[in-house]
Amino acid sequence: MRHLPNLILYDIRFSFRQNRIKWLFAAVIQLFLCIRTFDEVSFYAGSYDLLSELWPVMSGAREYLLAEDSSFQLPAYWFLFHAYLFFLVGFYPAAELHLGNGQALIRTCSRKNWIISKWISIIINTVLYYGLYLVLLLAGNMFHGGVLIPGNGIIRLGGIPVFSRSRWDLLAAFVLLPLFMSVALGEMQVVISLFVGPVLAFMAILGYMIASVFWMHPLLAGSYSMLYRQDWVSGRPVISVATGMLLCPALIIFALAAGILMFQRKDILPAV
Amino acid sequence: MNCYLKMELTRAFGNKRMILAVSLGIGLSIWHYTAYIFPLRDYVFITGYPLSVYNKWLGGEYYSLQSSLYYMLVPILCALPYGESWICDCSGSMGGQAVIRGRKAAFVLTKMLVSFVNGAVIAVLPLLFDLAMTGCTLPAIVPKVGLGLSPIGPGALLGDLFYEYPCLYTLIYIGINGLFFGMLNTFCIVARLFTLNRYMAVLTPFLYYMAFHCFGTTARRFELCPSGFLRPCQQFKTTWTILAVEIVLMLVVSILSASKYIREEQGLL
Repeated sequence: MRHLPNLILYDIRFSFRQNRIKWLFAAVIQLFLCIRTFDEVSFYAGSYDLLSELWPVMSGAREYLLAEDSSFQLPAYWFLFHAYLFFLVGFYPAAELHLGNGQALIRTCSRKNWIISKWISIIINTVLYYGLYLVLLLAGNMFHGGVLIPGNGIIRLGGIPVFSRSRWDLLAAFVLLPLFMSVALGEMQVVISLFVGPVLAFMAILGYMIASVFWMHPLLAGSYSMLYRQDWVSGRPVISVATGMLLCPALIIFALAAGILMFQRKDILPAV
Repeated sequence: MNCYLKMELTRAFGNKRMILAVSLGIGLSIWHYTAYIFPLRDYVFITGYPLSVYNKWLGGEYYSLQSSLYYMLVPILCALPYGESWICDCSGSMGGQAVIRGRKAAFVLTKMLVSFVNGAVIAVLPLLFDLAMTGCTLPAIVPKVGLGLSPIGPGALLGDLFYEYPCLYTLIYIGINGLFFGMLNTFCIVARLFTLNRYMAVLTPFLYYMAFHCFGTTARRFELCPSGFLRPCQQFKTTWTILAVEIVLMLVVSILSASKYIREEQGLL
């Protein structure tokens, strides 16, 4: 186990070093999203608050009702934000294994430690991605003289009443649940990528996200990151914060357990 | 050039990833058929005007998941079989051998051409398959403008042609799809200009495609989104100018990168 802390530090450092251009683009995309968000808030609401600013990205899409004349469209901000995150975090572990000659794996002498370390680095990268977006929003909010929670208790942009909801509830719905969902899907993507390759894994996760927009189902985890789908907004108990808070950590743990079990048996020689 | 062409065509079309890419595309169209077309077989003539194949096939509607999945993920499918080959040739001995035994320009141009053909075939096959399969269930009735059964307006790209010769319109549109996705697939070769990572090379066409999609949908410039205007049902309306500019842009980038590779002095690396 003495190798594990060193390996974690290595993965954190190396994942950032290898992804520095992706992080640069992440900052550009988030800045673009912030500018669009502030434009929308100023147009629809008039006053600035953090919840309204988070709304365009985190709201996602309402439940899609299939009909002959309906048009299925992905929620643009939500999709851009999440798809880029999966592009950012999903390629490093497989690239480190296949393209970096598996040096870290060889020196660790433990497949279990290797995958735990990757699991932790995904969590850190995802938290930082969300953190960067929140920092940009907060900076913009301060610049515009906004507040954190709307004074009248209504997020005007979505027209959603947030009366009688505690700050914890709002934090869970707006930030924590989407974050958990992103971590869970990121971990799943990485586990899949070790077996079928990162490109197919990325495609599978994007397909899963698109399916989450199309169907509103508790097992399609993408729905938990869409505020429009949550029970207190949609009025339907299918997607609740509590269920999501149980499902996403379970998925994260499952991804780790499955990753360890399957990676122990994987033939890595052809890849290395 | 001929021996290069034969060798590269075999590499592009004769591998497991090609089978996987085509299977995924055709799998989507079979899923679409079983979910939306087959259940309609008893209801073709139940309405005043019969249901038409041109409004129901994978490219003819934008309400289904399968259609959206196909048009979002098709650049990755196209790049799967052959996207890594140029990077692998550059870093391995294959490219060096090929250049020593023949002309470098011929080799680079062959790679571009095969990449184009490979992308076009993978993009077009599932569409043709779905059109044929849907055609086995629904009649090829010419759509009528006034009934509002078709998502294409007469003012859309080739809209008049659709209401007069829908089969010709559909084939032309599938051809445009092949041209676009073929050109897009050459970006796997272009990718070596800025990366040696083979995963990035496979994803480069998708990133270019998504850049237009994301910019278009977030900035409300839907006419720029190829994922919408490339559908034969034209989810997003565009103009010939935008379509031509996007294709010419890809062509210019591909030609410039090919000429840069040809002029490089130190072998392929």
